[in-house]
Amino acid sequence: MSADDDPRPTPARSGLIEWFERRLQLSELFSFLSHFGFVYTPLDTRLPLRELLRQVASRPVSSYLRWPRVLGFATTVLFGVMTVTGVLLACYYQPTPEAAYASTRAIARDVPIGWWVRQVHAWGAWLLLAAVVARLARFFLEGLYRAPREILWWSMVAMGWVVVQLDFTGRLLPWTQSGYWSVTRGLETVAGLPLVGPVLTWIGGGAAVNEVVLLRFHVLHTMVLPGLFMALFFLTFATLRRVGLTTVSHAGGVTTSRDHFFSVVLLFVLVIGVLTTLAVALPLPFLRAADPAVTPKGVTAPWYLIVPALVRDRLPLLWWPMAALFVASTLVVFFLPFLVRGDDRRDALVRPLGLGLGVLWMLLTVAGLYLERGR
Amino acid sequence: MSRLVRFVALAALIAAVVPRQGHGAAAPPAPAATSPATSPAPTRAVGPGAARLAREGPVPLPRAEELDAAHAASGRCGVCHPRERADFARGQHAREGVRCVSCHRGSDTQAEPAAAHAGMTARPSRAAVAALCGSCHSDPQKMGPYGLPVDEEALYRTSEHGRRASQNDAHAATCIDCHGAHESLPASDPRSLTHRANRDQVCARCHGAPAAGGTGADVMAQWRASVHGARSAGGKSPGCTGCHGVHGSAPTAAGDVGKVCGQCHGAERRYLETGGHAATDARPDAPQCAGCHGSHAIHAQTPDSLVTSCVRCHRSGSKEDSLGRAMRDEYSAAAEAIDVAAALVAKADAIPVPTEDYHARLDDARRSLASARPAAHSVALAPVHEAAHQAHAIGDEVRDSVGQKMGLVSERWLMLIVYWLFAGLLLVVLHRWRRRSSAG
Amino acid sequence: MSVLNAKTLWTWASRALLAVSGVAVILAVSLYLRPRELAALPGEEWVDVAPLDSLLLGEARLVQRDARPFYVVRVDESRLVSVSALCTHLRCTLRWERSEHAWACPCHGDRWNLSGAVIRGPATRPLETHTVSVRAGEVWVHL
Repeated sequence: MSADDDPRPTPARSGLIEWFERRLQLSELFSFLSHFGFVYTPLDTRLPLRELLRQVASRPVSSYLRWPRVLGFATTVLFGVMTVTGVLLACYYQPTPEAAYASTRAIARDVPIGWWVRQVHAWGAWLLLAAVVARLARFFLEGLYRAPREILWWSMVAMGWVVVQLDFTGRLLPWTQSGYWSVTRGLETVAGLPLVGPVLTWIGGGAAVNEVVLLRFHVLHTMVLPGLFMALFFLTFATLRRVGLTTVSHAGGVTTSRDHFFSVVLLFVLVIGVLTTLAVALPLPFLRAADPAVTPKGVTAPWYLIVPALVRDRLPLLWWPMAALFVASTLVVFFLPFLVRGDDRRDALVRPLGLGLGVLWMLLTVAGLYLERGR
Repeated sequence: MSRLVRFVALAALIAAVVPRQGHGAAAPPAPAATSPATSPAPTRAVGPGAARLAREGPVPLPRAEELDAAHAASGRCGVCHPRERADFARGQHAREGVRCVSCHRGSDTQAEPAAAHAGMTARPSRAAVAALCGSCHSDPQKMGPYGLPVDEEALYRTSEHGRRASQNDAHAATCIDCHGAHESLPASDPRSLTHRANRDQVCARCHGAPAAGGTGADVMAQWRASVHGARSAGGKSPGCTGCHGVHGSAPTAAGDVGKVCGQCHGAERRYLETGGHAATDARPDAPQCAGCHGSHAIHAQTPDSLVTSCVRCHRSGSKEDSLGRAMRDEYSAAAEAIDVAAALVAKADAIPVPTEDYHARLDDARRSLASARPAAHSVALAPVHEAAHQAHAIGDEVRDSVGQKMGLVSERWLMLIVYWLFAGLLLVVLHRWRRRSSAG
Repeated sequence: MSVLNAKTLWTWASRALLAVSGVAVILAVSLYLRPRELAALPGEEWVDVAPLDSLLLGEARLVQRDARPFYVVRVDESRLVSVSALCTHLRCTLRWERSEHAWACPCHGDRWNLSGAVIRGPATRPLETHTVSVRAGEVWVHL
C-alpha cells in the first residue's frame, strides 16, 4: 500500500476503475474531495484512486459534527441544498416582469413537488444567512482572525456579504408586491451611499426597478453570486489546508474521514428534515403580484438595510456621517487582522467593542422595523 | 463704502417713486370722478355705506376690466356708493349694460345727492323684488339671446318663498337673497352663491341653526352629518336644491317623498310602490322613505336597521316585526357566508392554491346580495329571500370548493411525518454502518 | 449468502432502504421536471373572452392564448361551444367553416364537427373541448 508498488495496480473487484486509471489520473479528478472540504489534509494525487481513498479514509480528523464546527458544515450543506433547489426553480422561472410572477406561482401551485422546492429555497435562504452570520460571529468572538488566518477571515466576511447580496437579488425575482417594493426602497438607499452606491447601481442595472434590473438580478443571483460563493469556498478550504483547523477544542473527539462522510449524510438528512418541517408547518406566504403604480402599506427596505433607510428618510442630517461610518467599519472589519497585529491589548478591546456595536446595530434594526411597520 | 451708500440711496429713491402694484395712490384719477367743489372730500367715512364700512372693513377693489364696465354702468352713483359699485362691477349685469338706475331709478348723471336720488327706490320691498327681476328675466325677448330660462319668476310664485314674499314677510327669501343684490354671478362661477358648492350655505342662512342666524331646526347640521352631506357618489349626492327644487322650492309633500328619493334610488322606489308600504293615500305618517330613513339626517343603513325601523310603527313581537327580523337574519347569514368564503380564498391565495374562479364567483355572490337591499323595501320576505339565498348558496359553494383544494394541502403533513420516519430509519442504518465500518 | 443472521438481514434492509430513498428522490425530481408547456401553467383557469352580446350567431372567436389558442362559437342565442384551435394532427391553427358548422385544418384538410369529433382527415384524435359559462353577460372559458 505505498508508492513503491507497481504503478499499474493489479485489477481488483472490477476492472472498470483500472480501465479509467490507465487513461486518467483519477485522483486528480477527485481532488475536489479536498478542494471542497471533505478532506483537510493535502492529498497525494499521484496515487491510484483506490489507494488514495483508502489512505484518506483511515486518516484521523477532528470530529466535525460537534458545535461550533458544525456551523461551517451546515453552511456547506445548506449551500448545496440552495443550489439544487435553485436549479430546479430555474427550470420553470421566467425572468421577465410579465411572466416572473405567473411562473413562480405556477411552480408553487401547479407543478408537483414545486411547493416544496420553493419553500425549501425560501427557508433555506434564512438558514444559510443565519449559519454564515453565526459562523462569522463565532470567529470574531474567539479572535480567530489573527495571523495566520487572515485569508480565512476575509473569505468569511466576503461570504457573508455574498449571502446578503443573494438574498437581496433573490427577493426581487418572484416579482411580488413586497419583493418589488422592498428592493426599490433598498436600491434607493444603496444608490445614495457615497462611493459604492453608484458602482453597485451600475452593476445592478439602474436605480429604478424595471425589466433590465430584473434580468440582471437574475444573472447575479443564479450565476455570478453562486460562482463567487463557490470560489470563496475554494479559498476557504485552500487556506484551511495550510493553516489547519482551529485548535480550540470545543469540538473534541477524533474520527476518520469515513466517519466524517457519514456525518455529512447525517447532517444532510437533518437539514432537509428541518427545512421540510418549516415548509409544511410555517410556509412562507405567496403574496400579490407587483404593481409599480401602487405602493402597499407596511413594506420597508430589507431588514439588513433598514438602519440606513431609516436614517435616509427621517434623519437626513445623519446620512453622510452614517455612510462614512459604514465605509469605515467595512474597512476596519476587513483589515482587522492587521489592526490588531502584535498588539494583544488592542485585540482584547476589539472584541467587546465589536460585540457591542453588533448588538447595537441589531437593536437599531429591530427598532427600525418596528417604527416602519405602519408606514 | 461711499459707492455702496450711493447705490443704496438710489435704490431707495427709485423704490419710493415707482408706483407699486395694488397701490392706487399714484394711479391717475378716472375721468368721470372729477371732484366738483361741492362734493365732500371725505376725511373720514361718511355717507350711506359708512356704517357698513365701519362694520365690515374696506371692500376689495375690482379688477381693471371690471372697473371700466362699472364706470359705464354705475355712472356717478359709485362716487358715494363705492361698495355697491365694486359688487356690481364683479357681477354679470354690469357687463350686459344694466345700470344702477335700471333697478333703482333716480339719476346717475347728477352730482348732487338730492338730484341723483330724485325718484329713486333705495330698497325695493320684498314683494316687489321678484317683479323687478322678472321684468327682464321673465321676458323671452330679452332672455332669448342669452338662452336663459324665463320661468323662474313663475316657479318662484308657486313656492312658499314667493307666497310669503308677496305678503311682504320679512323672512321670505327673494331673488336677491340667493343671487345677491348687486353681485350677480353666473352659477358656473365658483364665487357665485348659486354655484353648486355654495348653495347649501345660502339655504343655511335661514334654514340652518338659530345660532348661525337661521330660523329652522338644525336641518343643515343634520344634512351635513348625513350620507348625502358627505358629498358621496362622486359629488352627485343631493344638496338642498336636489330634493327641494330651486325656484319652485317646497318642502316635499308627504306622498311625494318616494318620487323625490326615487330620482336616484329607483330600485328602492319600485319595490316600495309594489309592496306592502305602497302609498295608498298621502298621509303625513305614511311609511315613505322619510319614515324610516329620516329626511335630512339620512345615514347608511345596516342590516340591523331592518329590526330597529319596523318597531317604530309596529308593535314589538308583531308579525311585521318578525318579518323585519327574518329579512335581517337572511341577509346577515348570506353576508357571513360570503365573508367566510372570502377569508378562505384569501388564505388559499397565500399558499398558493388556484383561486381565479373563486374570485369571480364571490363577485357574483356580492352582486346578488346587493340586490337584496332594495328588495327589502317591498316589505315582503320573498324577494329578499331569493336574493340572499342565492348569495348564500354561492358563498357556500365557494367555501366548499376552496376547502377541498386546501384539503390537498393537509397531505403535506402526511408527507412530513413519512419523511421523519424515514429519516429516523436512515439514521439508525447509518449509525450501524458507521459502527461496523470503524470496527472493521 | 450462506449465513442468514441478523447481520446480513440488517445489511440487506439497509441497502433496501437506501435504494428506496434513492429511487424516491429520482422519482420526485423527474415528476417535477416532466416537460410541460409553460403556457399550460397555471393549470386550470378561467379566461374572460368577451361580452356575450359581442358574439354574433354563428361567429367563431379565436382567442390567442400563447400555446393554447381556442375558439368560442355562438351556436344560437344561448348555446356556446369552445374547442382547442390546434389541429390534433400537426398543430396547425384551424379555420372555422361557418356554412358547414365545422372546423377545417388548412394544412391537410382535416375536419371536425361542433362536438369536436373528427369528420375527415389524417387526424384521428378529436378536438379538446372546453367548458363555457356566461356570467353577468361575460363569456368565460375554462381551460
